[in-house]
Amino acid sequence: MTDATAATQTSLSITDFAAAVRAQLGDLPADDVDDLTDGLEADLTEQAADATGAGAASPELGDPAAYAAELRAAADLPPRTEPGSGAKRESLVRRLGARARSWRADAARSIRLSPAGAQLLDFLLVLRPLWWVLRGWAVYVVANIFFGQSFEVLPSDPIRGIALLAFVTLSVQWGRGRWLPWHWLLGFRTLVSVCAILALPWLLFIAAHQITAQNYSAANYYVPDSDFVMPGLVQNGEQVTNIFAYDADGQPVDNVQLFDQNGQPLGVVDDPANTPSLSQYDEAGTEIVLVPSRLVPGGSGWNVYPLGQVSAEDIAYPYDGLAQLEQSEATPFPFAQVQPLVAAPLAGDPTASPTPTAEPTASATDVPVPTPTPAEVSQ
Amino acid sequence: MDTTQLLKGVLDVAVLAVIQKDDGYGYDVVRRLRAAGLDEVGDASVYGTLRRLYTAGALSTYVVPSDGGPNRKYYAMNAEGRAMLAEQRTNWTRFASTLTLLLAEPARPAQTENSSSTNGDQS
Repeated sequence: MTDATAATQTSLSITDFAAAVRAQLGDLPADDVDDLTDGLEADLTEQAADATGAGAASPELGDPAAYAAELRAAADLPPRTEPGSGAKRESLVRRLGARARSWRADAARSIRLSPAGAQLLDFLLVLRPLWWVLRGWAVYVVANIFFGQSFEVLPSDPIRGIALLAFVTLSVQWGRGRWLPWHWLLGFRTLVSVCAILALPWLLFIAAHQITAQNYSAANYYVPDSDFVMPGLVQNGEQVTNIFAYDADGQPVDNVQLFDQNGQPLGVVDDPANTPSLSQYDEAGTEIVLVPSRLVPGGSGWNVYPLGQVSAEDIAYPYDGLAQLEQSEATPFPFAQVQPLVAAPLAGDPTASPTPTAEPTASATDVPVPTPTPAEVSQ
Repeated sequence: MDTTQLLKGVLDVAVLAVIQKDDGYGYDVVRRLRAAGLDEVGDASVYGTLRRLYTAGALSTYVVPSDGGPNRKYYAMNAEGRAMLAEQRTNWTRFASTLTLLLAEPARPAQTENSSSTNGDQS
């Protein structure tokens, strides 16, 4: 009877003991606890039986906390988190941390199992400082977006430069495990790293975009695109739309055919055959439509100067190039006449040196007189 | 020297060696270790080690129903466990012989013999 009571007491205490051990492991995931304490009662009971059988005074169960700690240590599980205020939340965070650490260790171990994996891991380890710098840069860029209201790949002023330097330095020191005086900073570092990893693809994408755009605009601004050719005739970057010729006596000349050094017709449009008219605006803002000479068939008389014009009122809509050709009138010359050419003194021609006549014509050049005599100039 | 400290380092290989001989459940392994002379082995340490070796993939488990009692979880060796045991056995042998050499008593008997022989020569 005493034996039976003793046995009951022992089994009771074994149940209590096992429950206490499980309670001590309560911060671990349920699977881990089950794995560790599955069959614990049976084991303890058998051990108790062995002990009594061997003549020991009473089965010594000991301290459940110490027993649980021994289980944890042998199973490579993290020690119990201290109970206290916010223990639940903290234990969850720590559990997640412990899980992440063990996962990382497991992953590293399994990668290192293959030689290629080990080499890759070693290679990536060498690149870690680059990651530290990138992390500092990412924090700087994000901080600049929030506080500086601008996205900048690199700082635009010395204060921001110092900020970037500070962030990068801090990130590198954290990477080396320095400058972490408080324990919570470790968690903060992880948080910053996770945020940086999430933000970096976007930041790098935007940065690449910005750099490309900058290069593009810089190229367009400083180096003229060599592929771009301004059509037609150009003088000092400004389009030449008409040419007025004066002869040696300073008198206007009509229907001058011009050709360039290659014998090509010198036209003000780049595609004479398919350009029925050229629209332009004078200084007053009125539209003037220039048309090619009618003397060249097919509307390709773009190299016969001065080009005729169609006054804005006569423009027929929709445009009909040939119809407008019919309506064209002579374009007024900018000057009624210009200074006649003076023969070189050594030319020996006495008639070619009328010096006095130069003066009135010179005054004529000073005052551009749009001659309202189209009938006279036109043929 | 505290043998429990020594035991911690070699418990893995000891447990593996025991299970290689025969499959066993938790307390069975403890009992066999103690029977082999490791009296001070803690049962919790063994259970934790079993669980860790199982997690590491060195052991597999199966459940054996027992009449009148709870089911027993048996641990058995697998290929990875055998490889691990072979490696750790080599390591242990090398380590043990190194330490044996290191701890070997200086050859004092030889010295006394030598001095006595010189004495003998002089006399």
